[in-house]
Parts: sequence; structure tokens; C-alpha cells
Amino acid sequence: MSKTAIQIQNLSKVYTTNNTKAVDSLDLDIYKGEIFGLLGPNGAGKTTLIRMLVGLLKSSSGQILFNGEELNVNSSKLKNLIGYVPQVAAFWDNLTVYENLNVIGTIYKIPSKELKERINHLLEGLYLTDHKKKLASKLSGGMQRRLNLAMGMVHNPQILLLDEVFVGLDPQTRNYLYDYLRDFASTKDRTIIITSHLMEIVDALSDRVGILDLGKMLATDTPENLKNTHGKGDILQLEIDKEFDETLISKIDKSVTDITVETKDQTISIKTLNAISKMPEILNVIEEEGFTIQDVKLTKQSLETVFISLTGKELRV
Amino acid sequence: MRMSEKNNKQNKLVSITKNLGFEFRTTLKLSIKYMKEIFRSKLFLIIAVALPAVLMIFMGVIFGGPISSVQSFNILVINDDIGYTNDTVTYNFGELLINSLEDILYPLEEGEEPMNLFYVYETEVYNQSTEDYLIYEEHSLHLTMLIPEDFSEAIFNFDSDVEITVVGDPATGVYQSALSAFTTIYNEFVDSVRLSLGDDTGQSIITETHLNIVGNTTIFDLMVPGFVIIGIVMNIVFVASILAEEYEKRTLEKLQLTPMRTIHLIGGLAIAQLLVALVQIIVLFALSLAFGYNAIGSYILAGAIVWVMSLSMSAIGMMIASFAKKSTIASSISSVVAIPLYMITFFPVWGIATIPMFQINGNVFGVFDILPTNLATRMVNQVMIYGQTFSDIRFEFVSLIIVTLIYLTIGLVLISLLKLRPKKE
Repeated sequence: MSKTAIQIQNLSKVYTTNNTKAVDSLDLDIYKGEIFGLLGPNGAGKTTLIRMLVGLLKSSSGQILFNGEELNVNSSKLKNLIGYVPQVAAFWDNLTVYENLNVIGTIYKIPSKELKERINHLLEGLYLTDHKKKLASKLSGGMQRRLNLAMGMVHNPQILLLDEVFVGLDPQTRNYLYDYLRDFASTKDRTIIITSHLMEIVDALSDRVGILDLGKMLATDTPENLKNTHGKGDILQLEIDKEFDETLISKIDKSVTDITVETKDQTISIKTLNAISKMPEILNVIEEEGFTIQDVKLTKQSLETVFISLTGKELRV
Repeated sequence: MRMSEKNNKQNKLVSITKNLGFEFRTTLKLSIKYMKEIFRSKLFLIIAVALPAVLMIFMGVIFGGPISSVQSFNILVINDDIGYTNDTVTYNFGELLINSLEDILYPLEEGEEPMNLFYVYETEVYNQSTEDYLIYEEHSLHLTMLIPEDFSEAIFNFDSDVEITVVGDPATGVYQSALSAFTTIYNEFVDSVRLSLGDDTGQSIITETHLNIVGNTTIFDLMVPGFVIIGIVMNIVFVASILAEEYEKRTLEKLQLTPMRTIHLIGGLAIAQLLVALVQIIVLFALSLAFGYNAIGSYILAGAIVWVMSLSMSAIGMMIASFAKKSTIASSISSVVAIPLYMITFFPVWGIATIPMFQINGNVFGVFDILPTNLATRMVNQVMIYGQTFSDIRFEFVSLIIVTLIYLTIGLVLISLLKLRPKKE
């Protein structure tokens, strides 16, 4: 029994109209039961990759295996296996929330009684029960996005692909969705692939993260490992009460390992991994030299800094 | 062993039945979805029901005059007038009437050569079947005039009315136009002859005989099938824009990701459209009745013809949607397509000739018959005005079914190829 839910082998996509290589010889394994975060700027190839995975877009070359099998895009096995929630909320405006879900569920051949239970469970979970008789067009933007999500999950897919689903959600719904997806993934070895430009969510939610740019996977690892391997570390900024010279800087450099020190006016900036653990040592050196610290500012290491380090650019949203 | 084989067979049968049930459930669910979407759309009510209904009411109330779309009329004359001798002079006013008709010229536009208003063909024997053939199949004759043997005598006898019989097919508007022109000239002829003879007390009377007709057919009657069919033709716009909207709003992608097959989608939409068409047919025929539609045929048969035709309208909508990326584009294209189809519904009224394509057992399939609206309008007229039954229109009905199936197949293939396959770009 394969441990990988999806194996992507040498997958490429070239758009012939503008001769762009959106996905370039990509190799990637995504495991059963994991939440895989896919990060990348606009035009990185995230949506192209997702659309090839779900069978909406033809690849130019390469192979995609699901549970070790190459499945025909029209096979009901693939269709039952995968759930896709697109970036743009898609639903039928003139149908109610319940009717939208009922149409999709029926086509997935879910028996009526079971479908009713599933829909009610989803509606309850996504706080849509009170709105189930409303026409989808009358829902607020956030509710429409939740409906969009429910439509991709109504058939209980084993693999769920979510494209920018957190966009436009209020913080409460976002937190709720966060827990919901965690719970969803933890049962029955389900796999979730999520793309988002909200790095803190991807960081917190994902077991592994892949950073994609210009169709190539630049790095794949756990968020923590990525930060440690590719990040420049935390930045500790210390404002000193009076002017200092190179003596103080070299003392700090010698006393504390694995740091980079920079200065500007009366501020010392120290870049290091896990700055909090090194802070007492640094403060001691400064005080021993007769200086007083007036202000401390700590900027924690984030996926964004990893992203910038790898792609050389800010995340374009 | 035998028991297990039997059990396997039973299980297989149960599984097939269950699968068939699910297949049907998918199609039905999609058709219910489309119906809800259609009936919850105000645009549908306006275009598909209100617009043809308003047209029907409008025409029912104000349409009284004949259509004058043909500039020259072909008249068959059977002149039985034996003439009348008065003071050794024999008059044949029948001949004089024919000459008068032949001599009437009118210019089309300034500077153009004058044209004959009537082309007169004479025959000695009146033959109903010949008439039928000429009028129905060739449309070469617009009106037949029977001049009685006492015509000249009646003109001389100032106390009596001068009667003439006119035979024609009121299902062609050209007949109405020809009759209108002829009536004016005939009245003037009788009046002027009598005046020259010294009296004008008697009346000139035209007796109309309608071919295969019971009752008085009006122009409105001839137009009713057209109006019912217009409503259904508008379904092209619906089907095209609904499907294009599915594409535009990416709900089609959602369906594409499900185990749905093209046949489910097409079937669902076709069933929904059929039910919508049924509502339209009932509403529009009911309105036509309310405004005095003199139909003698079976409403059920006429409704069935229009109903079958509506499926081909779904198919045309599907074809358009397969090329359109936006619902606005789809509805614009379908409106453009609907106009000629709509115009064709009035071909029988205009008396446009049939151009034969092929013939089976004496039944002619015309070039325009590849357009289901043409076939349907002709059949509905035959049923409602001439009271023809299914056996009379069997060839046309089967033709309509075949044409519809061809359209549906093309629609299905196009949707499947252009909209439901993984995209290349």
C-alpha cells in the first residue's frame, strides 16, 4: 500500500499561446494524511499545477499518480477521490445553499439519506445552517466562500485541493476553517493541498510546505526546517542609550555564536536563528560594557523571509 | 456452484439496476436544477412567455388586413360564362373581366418597367386535386376564379347580384393579398360595366371557397403557429446562455469534476427545456384561443409537434454555448440565430416556394426543412387549419424527429469536445 497520495513525476505545462512554461519538470510526492502548503507568487504555476492535478488542464508532459496509480481524468475513481475548491467561488446563483450542495452530492451518487446527513453536518460545521434556504446569490461574500468550500467537500474526498480559500474570510471564519481542515485531514489519512498567499496560515496549518516559482519547486520541507535552512533568522534590534564603537560590536560577536551584527546610529541589529534563546547573553555583554538598552524589537523568522530568501522577491498577491 | 452463479447473476442485476437508477437520478437532478434556475429567472418569464404572449395579444387585437408581400399574383380562371345576347349583340363579360385583369399594370418604383398585377392562366375543367397540387406543392397559383355561366346575364339583369366564386388556400397569406386586390378590381369592374349599361343597383358578390377549410380563416389564425413557435425559438437563447453561464461562472468545472457525463448534462437540460416548452405551449395556445383562434385540428398533435421541435432548439442552444465563453455572447449569437428561424415560421404565410432536396414515396423534403421551425410551422398549420391528422403528416413528423436527433447529436458532441474536456490552454 503506497504511502504517497500523489506522485508528480517530471510534470510540465507549456502554454503555447504565449510560449510560457508554467510548470517546469516538476517532481513532488505528497503523502497520505498530510497537509501540504503550496506557496508561490502570482504566476508561479500554483493554480496550473492544481488544475492539472484535478484533471481540468492537460499537462504537456509528465505523469501524475494517485495512490500509485495513473488514473484517467474521466474515471469516476479519480473524481470520487479528489475534491477541489477553486479560488473563485463557483455556485449556482438561483439555487439555495442546500440545493447547491444537493445537486453536487446527488451527482456523486451519494444515497439520499446519507447525503442529507452530510449536507446538514457540513452546513452546521461551516455555520451555514441558518442560511440553507437562502439563494446563494443572496449570501455575503464570506458565506459564499464557505458554500464553495462545502461543495468541494460534500463527497468526503480523500484528497482535497484548496486554492486560496482563506481569501475574503473574516478572522473568526478563518480560525474556524483552520480547525475544520485540521480535523478533516486527521481522519482517514486524508490529504490536503492548500495554496495561499497568507503565509502565517500556511505556516501554521501545513505539515510540509513547497515553494514554487516560475514553475519550479525551489524547496520542500516542514515549515520549521525551511525556516532553519533557508531563513536568515530572527532580527533583534537594540537601541542603546549612548554612542558606541567597534569594541562593543566585536565583544558581542565573540561572545555569542552564529550571529550577524549590523549597526546604524545608536541601534544594533542582530540576525540569528532563535534569537530569544540568545537574548540574555547579548544583553549581558552590552550591560557589562556600561551601556543601557532603551528599546528592544524582535522580528521573528517567518515563511515570508524564507520565501523572499528563495525567490528573491516579496510575495506578489 | 449453481447457487453461487445464480447469486452472482442476481447481484449483477441489482448492481445494474442500481446504477441505472443513479444515472437517471443524475439526469433528473440536473433537469430540476435547470428548471429551478430558469423559472427563478425574470429574464426567462419576459423573453420566453411574456414577449410571445404580448405579440400574440397585439396581433390578435389589431391584425385585420391581408399581407401584401407579393407584387404579382397568379390566377387560374375557369370561365364558364356563356355570354348574353342583347339586341343582336353578344356580350361575354367573363372574357372582359379576364382581359381587364390581364391589362392591369403597376410600376414598382419610379423609372422601372410596369408589371402585371395578375398573371391569368385559363383552363376549362376545374379539378380539385389539380388545384391542391398546384397550390400546396408549387405555390405557383395564388387564387382560382370560377366564372359562372350566367355571369354576363347577371350583369345585364340589374336586379340580381353578380356572383363569382374564388377558390384559394388561406394558409398562404398571398391568397389573402390576391383576394384583396381582386375584390377591389372585381367590384370596380361590375360597377363600371353596369354604369355603362345604365344601372348600378345590383351588388357584386364574391363567394369564397377555402380549400380543405371549414370556417373562416383569418390572418391571425395563420400566424398563431408562428407565435407559439417564436416562444419556443427563444429557448435557444436560454439554453445557450445557461450553458455559457455555467462555463463563465465555472460551475461547469464543478460538474466536470464530478462523475457526471455529457449525456447527463445534455439530458438534464433537454428535459428541463421540454418542461419549460410545455408551459409555453399551453400558455400560448390558451392565449390564442382567448383571442379567437379558429383552429379545427388537434391541439394535442400540434402541441406534440412544437414540443419535439423545442428539443432541436435546445440542441441549437448547446451548439452556440459550446463556442461561447460568456453568457452575454451566447445570448447575442443565439438572438441572431433565432431571427432567421423565427422568420421561417412565416414562410407558409408568405407563400414561399418549397425547394425540393429529396423525395421519399412522393413526399418532398425541402431545403428549408433542415430547419425544424419550418417543418413544425407547416405541420401545425396543416393540423390546426386543415384538420389533418397524424397519418397525414407522418412523413413530416418523422422528418422532424430525425432532424432533431441530428441537431441533438451535434450539440452533444460539440459540448463534450469544446467544454467538458481538460483544457489545453
